[in-house]
Amino acid sequence: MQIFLPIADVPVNLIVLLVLGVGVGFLSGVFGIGGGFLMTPLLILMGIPTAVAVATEANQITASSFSGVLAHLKRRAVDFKMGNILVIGGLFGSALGVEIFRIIKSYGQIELFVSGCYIIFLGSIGILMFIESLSTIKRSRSPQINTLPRKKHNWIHGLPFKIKFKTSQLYISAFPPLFLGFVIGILASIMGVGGGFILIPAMIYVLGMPTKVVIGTSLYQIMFITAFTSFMHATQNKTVDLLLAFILIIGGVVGAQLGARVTVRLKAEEIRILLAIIVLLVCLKLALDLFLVPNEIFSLTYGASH
Amino acid sequence: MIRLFVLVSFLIMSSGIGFCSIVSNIDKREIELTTRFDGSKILVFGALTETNNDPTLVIELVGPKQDMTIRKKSKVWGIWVKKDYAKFKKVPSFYQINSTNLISDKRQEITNRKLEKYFFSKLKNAETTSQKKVDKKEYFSELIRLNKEKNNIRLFETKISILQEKLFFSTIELPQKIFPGEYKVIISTLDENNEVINSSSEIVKVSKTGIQKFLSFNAANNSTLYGIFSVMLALFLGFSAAQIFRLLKI
Repeated sequence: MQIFLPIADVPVNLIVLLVLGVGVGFLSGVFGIGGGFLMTPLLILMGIPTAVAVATEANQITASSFSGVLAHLKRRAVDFKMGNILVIGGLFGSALGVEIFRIIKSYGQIELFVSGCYIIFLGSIGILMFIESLSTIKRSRSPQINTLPRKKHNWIHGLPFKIKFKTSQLYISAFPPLFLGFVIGILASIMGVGGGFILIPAMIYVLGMPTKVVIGTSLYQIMFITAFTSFMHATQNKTVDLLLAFILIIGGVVGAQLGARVTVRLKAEEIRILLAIIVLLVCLKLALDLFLVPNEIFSLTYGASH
Repeated sequence: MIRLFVLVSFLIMSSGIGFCSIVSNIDKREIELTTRFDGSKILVFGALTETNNDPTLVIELVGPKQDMTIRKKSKVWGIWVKKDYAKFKKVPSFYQINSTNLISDKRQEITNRKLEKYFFSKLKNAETTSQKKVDKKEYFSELIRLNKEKNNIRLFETKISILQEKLFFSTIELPQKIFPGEYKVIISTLDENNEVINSSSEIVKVSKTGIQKFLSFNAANNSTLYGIFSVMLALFLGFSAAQIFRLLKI
């Protein structure tokens, strides 16, 4: 069933879009990842304009992270103080990112820029995930406990402007979380991702936060940042497609709930390799488009500005 | 079909006597672009009165004007980058021409003339990265080719049927992706030298409706409210999802 997206200005197949939403939502339910870093490139490969894909995906992540935050609030697993500092940094990052996005878009190079960012990120995440799951599988065959310890003290903890974070039982400078939030804000606005895949490891290994509050706090920040990002994209670039967002949110929610239930039955590490392969394939497809001789040297766009 | 012939005969009777004049009509004057819009057909019909010398009948459909940019990819540091471009101002977003005449020479001449009028003339004001004539011509031919591929330029794809040497009808197919605005149907008769003897025109209004209109209008004109609304909707849907699945778990 074909429907016409009002802002993206392209016809898409509703069923394909829903299946995509459920599929990516399912993966995010299984692995506890946001799914933005898979959804945005898939939307681009489907023919949705890059600028619309990024802005609309930010909107979808607002919805999925909000429902996630609600679940974590019940378990009191959100460090609000830390979350708020991350949000402050993130707002600046997002505002800067949207501005960078607008400038590059006006030069007509946004596809190239976003593809480039994705190739780097998907490539490195895919490879890291692949190696990590392989070694976990090996380790599980020859049991030997060897996990990365959470660092209690490093140079980060020596910086000034120290603040007490009660929930996280930390006493650290406000600068590292501000900076971390800033980076995540830029990523969210340029790539249409929540940034959990960087935020979560950084919270554990750099800031030294206890694992039990990490997910809730990251979702808390991601919700605010993606909400701000999609608002900024809507006003600066006018690229949020609400109809597309609506379909993706519905598909994503259903998929995530299914994914969260199925997890128990599957061997996590083996699906993780599968996910790594999917990520690497998407990366490869994007890279081939940049490096191989294109089928079509010329392209036609309507409107003079982009 | 019966309705069509009744209409046509009515048109002939009411038109009186003229010098190879055209009486024409179209079956719809308004097209609504909804979310489910899947292309449309416009039926153009009418009659030629006082035909002599077997004139060529030509039916054109000219869509609303749009700015168009043609970009060319080139290899920069091993990567294919959209580097050079030509920006054309106010080009018809849709152009279709059909004719009763099938002689290829004549067709070619009409085609050249029309493409010159509607497209090639835009090359003068086009903003291009290269000022070379050869490059400009290349951009022009790509503009035509890519628009043909998107079914936005259709040249002599269907023949106009003529009944009893007087009555004619032709259908114009509009693709799924069309721009809102005024579409002009031009019906004209040409002599042996392809000069216009007579012509008449009709207007078809294409407009977005419903959710299409609401969303695209507000995204463009009330972007602050639209932005707030999109965030609120996302939060509402996220909240509803959490509630629904919590209830389902019990």
